[in-house]
Amino acid sequence: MKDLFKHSSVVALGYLPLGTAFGILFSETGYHYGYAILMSVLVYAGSAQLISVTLLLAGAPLITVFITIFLLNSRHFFYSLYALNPYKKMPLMQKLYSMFALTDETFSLLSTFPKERQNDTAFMFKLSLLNHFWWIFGSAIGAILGYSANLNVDGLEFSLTALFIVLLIDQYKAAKNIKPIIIAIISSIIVTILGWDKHFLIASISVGILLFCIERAYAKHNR
Amino acid sequence: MQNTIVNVILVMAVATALTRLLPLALPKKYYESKLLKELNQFFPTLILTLLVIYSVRSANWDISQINSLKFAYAEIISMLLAALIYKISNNMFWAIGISTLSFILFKMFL
Repeated sequence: MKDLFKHSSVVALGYLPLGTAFGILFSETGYHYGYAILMSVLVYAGSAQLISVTLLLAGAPLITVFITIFLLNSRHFFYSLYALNPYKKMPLMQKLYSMFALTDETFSLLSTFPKERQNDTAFMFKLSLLNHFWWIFGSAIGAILGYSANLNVDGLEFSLTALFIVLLIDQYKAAKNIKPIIIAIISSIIVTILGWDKHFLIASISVGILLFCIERAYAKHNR
Repeated sequence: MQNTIVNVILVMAVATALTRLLPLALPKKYYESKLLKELNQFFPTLILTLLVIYSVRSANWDISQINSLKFAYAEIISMLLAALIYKISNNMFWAIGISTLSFILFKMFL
């Protein structure tokens, strides 16, 4: 039990402030704080939830929401791939929940644990639950605060742009690959010139994927 | 399907659950695919760059008014500030906090 709280408290240090920030930002949408809590229960994905505030404020269509969130969270596929082995002896419902709850932070813990701990399925299930609780709790605090204080600071939504910039810098540092950034800029220009602004995100993602495929085929041909 | 808040949450939940539960359903031969690994490295950076551009584009600018240029400068300066502070401090909260505060102050006084 002591071990469970020890490992989960590290995650709580990140989840409580970030969850609170999400909750406060969510209040900018004008929706009841209950929806912020519902999102944290059903989605449980920090950057995706923060991005959803931008999508909600812009009135993005559902297809845009789906594709953006799916592609943004695509890395989670590889987390679950990794967890297939340690979680293979988990009872089915616990396995489904634990795979669903495999966020960046929980995966980081799982991948650093020794094999005996990884294979302790009861421990991993409880850890996943407790980490999820911290996220929901943080979101609830922020959402209730933001909603009750009727926070409507003009310009607060800029924090999302700043968050994307910070995450982009981290991504670039990890991958050291400027090609996706260049492709994103080119596809934005193409979409704007073609007048597809109304569906900017989905159009620019599609053009971006097309440019990626063209570049990959060209690089393969020249090898 | 209407774009209500509940539908948005459900769509997000399905999209996220799919990314995390797909390995349970896919045949093994797809896991080792080189293309999949390259796409996994490509997508997050593509999406984040597009989101930076998207969030700046969706800001409330009335470009028929000359005054809106002031907000364009405020946005650019605040973005550069976020990048600079993060580069120096490596602290996400300082970078986001200070740049957001600067943008709020710009909007208040411009």
